[in-house]
Amino acid sequence: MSGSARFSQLVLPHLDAGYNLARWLLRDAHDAHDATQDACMRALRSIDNVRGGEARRWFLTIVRHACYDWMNRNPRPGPEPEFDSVADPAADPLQQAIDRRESSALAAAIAALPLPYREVIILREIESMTYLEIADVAGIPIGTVMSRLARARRLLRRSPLLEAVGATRLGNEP
Amino acid sequence: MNCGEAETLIATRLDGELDPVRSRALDAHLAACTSCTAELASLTDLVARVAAAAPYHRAPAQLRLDVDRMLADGVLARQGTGAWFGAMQGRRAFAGGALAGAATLAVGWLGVTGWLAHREDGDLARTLVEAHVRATLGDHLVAVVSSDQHTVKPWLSARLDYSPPIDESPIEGVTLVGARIEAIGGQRVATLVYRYRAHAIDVFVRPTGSVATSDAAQTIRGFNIAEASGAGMEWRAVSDASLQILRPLVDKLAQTAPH
Repeated sequence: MSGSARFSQLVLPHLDAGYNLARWLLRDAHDAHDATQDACMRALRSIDNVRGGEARRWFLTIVRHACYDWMNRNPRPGPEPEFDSVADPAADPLQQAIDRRESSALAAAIAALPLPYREVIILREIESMTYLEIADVAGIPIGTVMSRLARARRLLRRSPLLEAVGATRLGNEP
Repeated sequence: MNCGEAETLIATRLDGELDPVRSRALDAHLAACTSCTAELASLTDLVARVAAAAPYHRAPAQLRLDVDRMLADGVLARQGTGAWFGAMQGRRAFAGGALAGAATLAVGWLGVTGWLAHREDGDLARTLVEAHVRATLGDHLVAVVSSDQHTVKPWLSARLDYSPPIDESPIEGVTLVGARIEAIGGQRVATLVYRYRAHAIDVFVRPTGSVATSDAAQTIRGFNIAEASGAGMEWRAVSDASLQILRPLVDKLAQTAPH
């Protein structure tokens, strides 16, 4: 099978996951686009080294490296970019407004996490990876995965952004 | 077990990584500790909220197009044309640009001799790629879904003033999926849709006319184009499938005897 065919079969199914990780790590759509594209080029070059079952973990590791390289080349000081939110179109308008606030509050709270905590939260809560997979992608021991996750969750629960939404939820209950 | 240990185990269990023995020990601690029970509720709530509400950013369509183009370049590199290095250089410049995500039309000329003279032809190729991209991104790829030439042929005949011969399985691995009509340069053009593995292949067919076909192939935005003349028709195949498929496909179609 050609490299392109292997890439299409093994990597393309994980393009969304790769872009999502890049988008969360870099917090910018254009940067995430470029870093994911860079990761795809790196993946295509070493596509012969990957086995089917580990393709997602392997590709996300490459995406993460591409993101860190991107950040090293393009340091970006300044305020947090805004995050767009995702709402369920089937929900009623009031619930939708609450969901939207919940979603953007969560997005803002996660985006505000320092990078080492942000990446373990994305890999665990959004990509549902195991500790072992996260350790592999992030290049850290499993014990560090666990302590970073615990710290990240403490930070999220303490986030003023989430507390504001919690108050709204209580206020809407009869 | 103290509360510090319990806190770690609560998270580990929520993440589905706690063994049954320690899970039972945790339950024993929770039964006797209200603060750890509250911690369990709080953490469960947080994890559920993040999983349910945190935005998931799907890869944009333009990124998929860019990756398709990169793959097409990769195929060429393996064919030994040396196009890979040039493509890499171009891509770096492209990635460095501020508008990397914008729809930039990058045309990969593959040493096509004589092609540049046909300005109209280049525009035609671009138009065909745009038609193919529009169709594959939307849900209008196939207007008549059938792998049977006896269904597709009358459907096309009823809508056009010409009727191309149709081969259901022209080469190994390529099968007819259906057809649609595209408006190309103000003309209604029969578009046969074939499938090769996961790739959709559009074959635009019209009676032989003013634009001569060329044996040369080209790549636009990662899509390959191969063309041939025969059976009184011009055949132009557009797809992200490789030229190793498209070239024999159009050659075979052009030899199809008119019915």
